Amino acid sequence: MDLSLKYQDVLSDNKKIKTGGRLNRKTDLGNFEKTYKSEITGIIELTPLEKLFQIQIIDQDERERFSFKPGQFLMLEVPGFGEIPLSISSSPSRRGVVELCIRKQGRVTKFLHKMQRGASVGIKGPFGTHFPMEKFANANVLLIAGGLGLAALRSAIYYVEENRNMFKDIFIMYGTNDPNQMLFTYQYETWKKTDGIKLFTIVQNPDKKWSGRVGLITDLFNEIVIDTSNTHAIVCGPPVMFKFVCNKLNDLGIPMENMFVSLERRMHCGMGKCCRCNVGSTYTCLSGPVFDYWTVMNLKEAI
Amino acid sequence: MEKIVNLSRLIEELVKEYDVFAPVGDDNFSQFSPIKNLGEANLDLINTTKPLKNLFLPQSEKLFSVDGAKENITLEPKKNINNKRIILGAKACEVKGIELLTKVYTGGTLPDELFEERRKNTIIIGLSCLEPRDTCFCAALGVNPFEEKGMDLVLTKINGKFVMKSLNQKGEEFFKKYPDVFSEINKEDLEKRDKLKESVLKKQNLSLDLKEIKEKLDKEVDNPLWEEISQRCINCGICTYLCPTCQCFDIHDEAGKGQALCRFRTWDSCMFPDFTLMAGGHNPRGKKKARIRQRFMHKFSYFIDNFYEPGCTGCGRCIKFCPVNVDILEILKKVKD
Repeated sequence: MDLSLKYQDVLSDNKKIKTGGRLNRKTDLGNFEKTYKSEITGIIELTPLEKLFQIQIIDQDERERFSFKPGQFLMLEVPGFGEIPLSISSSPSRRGVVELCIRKQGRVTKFLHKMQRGASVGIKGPFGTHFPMEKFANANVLLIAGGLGLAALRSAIYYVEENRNMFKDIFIMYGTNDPNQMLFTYQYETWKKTDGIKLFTIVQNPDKKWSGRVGLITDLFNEIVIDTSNTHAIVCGPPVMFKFVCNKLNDLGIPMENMFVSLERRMHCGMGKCCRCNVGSTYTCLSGPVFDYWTVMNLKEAI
Repeated sequence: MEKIVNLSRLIEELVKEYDVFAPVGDDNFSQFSPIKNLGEANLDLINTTKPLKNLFLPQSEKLFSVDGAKENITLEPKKNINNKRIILGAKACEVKGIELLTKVYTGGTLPDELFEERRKNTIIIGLSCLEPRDTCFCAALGVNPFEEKGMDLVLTKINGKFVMKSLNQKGEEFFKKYPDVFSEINKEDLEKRDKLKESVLKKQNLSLDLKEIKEKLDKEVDNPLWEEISQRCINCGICTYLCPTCQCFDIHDEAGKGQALCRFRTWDSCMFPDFTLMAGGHNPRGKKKARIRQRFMHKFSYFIDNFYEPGCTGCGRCIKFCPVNVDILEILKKVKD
């Protein structure tokens, strides 16, 4: 495959092309319709299936203007292959560089995994609702992720790490099927070193090298002692996990409106028209992906 | 204003200025196609096979293409949609379908440009439906065969003559613009039309009452009925492709070697198993039961949530063309009881 494929200003009129590469369509809706020309500045192999892509917006002005909140997603465009929605995994305070944790799975991501540093891509966004981190001030925070869910949770982890004084106790819980699937292992030590952050990891099927905990993510709740009346939780992971984890949290006494989940759905148009991502009469592309658990319980077929 | 119209002459005049679309084809297959004269059109068809939505949301359309070598950018559809169009011979249920799609595609904060442009550039000349099919149930959805909502002009066939009635300013202008093709209407014809209307209304299928269908459906999410229906369904997707209100689409990028890069939009169907399949392997509607339920819930519950009316026009296409006889009427009646 030709890796030198130049990113084109595919959405703009001939006349409208500006030197800055910023694109406006007829409906100018804030950041909604703009495609930022970007390039891949770094690729880190996390597991055999997942890679972390560091992507930088080429234009300096745009780089400084681009900001997002933990939990939001963006559209990554690979010309000729398509657009895919991806959770942002990097720190919201780091301007202009976004990190995306991508699993080799579909048509676009398979091609992405063949790409090298310096390849051109386009990003649009950020879109969607975010984790309301400001609401968590002066409270305990539970950050719970399963499998690839850590990709979406990582920017929230960065946030609590950088604003450590805002929160009381912070617990990060992370579970995977087997130790090889663990993401961002190189960062665990840094997280642990930050004052008062407690990290728990657990795997279901250990291999010979694994010396940590074995079991399901819900087993981790036996190890922690928290004041549940003043605790917020964020849960990211495969949909099967939501039910078990949120029920457990509920049993512990955390109110449903203090639990936040990131609902995963397939998105194509991002305008609430193509009907792929609907959960009941709600479209995750317009009203999501972050919902509080109370809302989720009231949606049909959500989990 | 109401007058008798010489339709073949009117079309001759119209094609000079507009792209005129009318039902073309026979009982086996028909759709709205461009016509040059009245002879090409078949106005006696009860309903075309392909719904009118094809003209507003084409089965497959190029959104844009980029020539990689020359770095030339062309926005393909811009050229086509600026043409002024006339749709002739659309039945009430078809127009209702377009009305519902307009709510979806132009409502809210994020309107769809292509759809909006097409709707703006289109004049609809309706045609009163004189013969509801046995699969039609438009009465349940508040549509009657003589419904005029959403049309600019409406035609009624009486004794081989066509009576044309204008319904708004746009339609009014037709009478001024082409005075030669119209002749005065007499009282007898008007009386005949009223009688015709009465007899057609009597033929309507009134067996279904959709009152409180949403509340009923919301309660029946886990009803074994869905499992029962889904065993019959073969997921061919014809009910959604031929539905005048089904809105789902898929977006695709294609780039052949040395060829221009294109982005397409094509119809898609929520009946297909991979419609909601995600990269991680999770599929929220992986079971046939869930997909069938989604189709009904979307039309008769979610659509009411979002747009305050059901997303169905009662055209009966999904009943007529379903290869395994999944009958929307029968199912709705079952849910009601």
